[in-house]
Amino acid sequence: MKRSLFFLVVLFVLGPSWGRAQSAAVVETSSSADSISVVMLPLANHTGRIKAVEMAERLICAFLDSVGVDCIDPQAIRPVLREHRIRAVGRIDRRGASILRQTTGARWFLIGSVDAFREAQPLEFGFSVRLVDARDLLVDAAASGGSSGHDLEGLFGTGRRRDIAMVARRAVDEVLTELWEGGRWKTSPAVAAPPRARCCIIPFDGSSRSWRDGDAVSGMMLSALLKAGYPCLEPGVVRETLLRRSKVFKGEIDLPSLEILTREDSIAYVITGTVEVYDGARGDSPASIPHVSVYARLLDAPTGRILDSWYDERTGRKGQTLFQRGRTYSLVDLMMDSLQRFVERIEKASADGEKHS
Amino acid sequence: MRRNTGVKWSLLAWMPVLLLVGCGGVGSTVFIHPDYDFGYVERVAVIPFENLTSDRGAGAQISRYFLSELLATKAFEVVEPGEVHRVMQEMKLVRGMELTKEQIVQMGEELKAQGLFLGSVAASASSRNGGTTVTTVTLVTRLVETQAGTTIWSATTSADNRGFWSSLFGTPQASPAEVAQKCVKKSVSTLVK
Repeated sequence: MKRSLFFLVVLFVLGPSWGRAQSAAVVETSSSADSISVVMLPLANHTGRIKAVEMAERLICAFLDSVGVDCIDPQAIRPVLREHRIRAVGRIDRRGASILRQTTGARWFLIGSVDAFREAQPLEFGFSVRLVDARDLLVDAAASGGSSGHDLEGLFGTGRRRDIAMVARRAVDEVLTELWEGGRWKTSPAVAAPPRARCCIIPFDGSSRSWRDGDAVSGMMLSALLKAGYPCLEPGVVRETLLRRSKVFKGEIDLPSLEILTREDSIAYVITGTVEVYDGARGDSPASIPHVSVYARLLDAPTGRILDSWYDERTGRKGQTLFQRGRTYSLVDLMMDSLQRFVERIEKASADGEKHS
Repeated sequence: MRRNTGVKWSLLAWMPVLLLVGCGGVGSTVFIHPDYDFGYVERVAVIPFENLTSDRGAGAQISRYFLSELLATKAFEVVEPGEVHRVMQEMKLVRGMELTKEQIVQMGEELKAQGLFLGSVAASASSRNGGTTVTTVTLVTRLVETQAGTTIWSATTSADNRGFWSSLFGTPQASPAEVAQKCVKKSVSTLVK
């Protein structure tokens, strides 16, 4: 009897740290360790806190150093960006990529954004990164993930993180460990399996109270799509193509622009949408949970037809079981769960489309 | 005496049903053109709904839900909203609710659509009612065919999140977004069964 009671107490104290599934969405790419050369571009800041980007860049570089990746960090690349007037914060276009490739000899660009950052309780850190092939500017790998101070919390508040640096390090390690394993970038499902139709994302519109919510969710959508094996065009290139028509779209696109994307970049599907709620947990209580709501639609690029339209609203309580197990505290993880459901619908809709064509 | 007891019991048995009926939503007002052949309408566009409330963004939000609901019915092909905006910009249109017959015809030609959905959000508000928050949404929509600019369908629908169980026991209520979706669903269901 005493032994069972002891076991139960241990289970409650350690519970959340056992059952927590890693939510980083990852796609892999083929490579060998001898040809690794990555230029990490300055991260986009979707949090409004300068410290968030500084911390993320430092931690990512430290991780890549520790696994032996030859990485040029954003501080080192900034003079080149300034000299050639390249706008490469969180994205890269064709001209910028060409100059950077010639000046640095890089094989890949590591591009990303910090999507959630909260120094006060509950601590939170979330980010997205993608590995873009410097030659064809297709995204070879992408991952999004986050961590909260409550993630490892057990009974009576034990295990709760009280240092944002520790929370951020956990998120970075989780996400990048999946991207980089055994001395190489993993093989992409898009390479291993028959290639799927090429996609691009038109940045999501944001109507929530959060700053740059649409941009943050667009990065996560990219990670979710790549996880399902859809090759995606670098968003900076999509933006460059549309800017030639003097157009910048958010949450929608017109037919002439779709035609250009189809003709010039061989895009088959376009995904866009609107973020309605993007609220992190507030207040120092385990009862405080994130809340997201997103509307997205899938367009057939050659015809401009809407193939699917989808809306999802969820809070961190979704999936919660007894004693708050299974609760999601990280905003980025919650949004990724939501977007992955949409990607499942995309798979079904695109399969139906192929059947009918 | 025995008869009185029977009546009492039957009244008690009917009480929950009466309470549930009493908590029902508001009805809809619907017009469907009696002579129009709806089979002709294959491709439609949703013109962004006008917001007549103080709830910022309600028009755009409910337009999105409406478009989503239309697609879910699989009755129409729906024009991408970005394309609708492009045509509206080219025609220098600001307010979607006040289109002339010529503008409707021209939009139909530009968008290759046989019908335009126009609408307005007449109410979108939350108010405290005892221990619960009641959200009410009212939507006025119409479908205009683009050959002659005739209204062929129109509906005014309302929805709220009042419920028997939430009023009595404080069980979780539908969120404002869910109420809006319920109202849209109700509206579309009067056109496509």
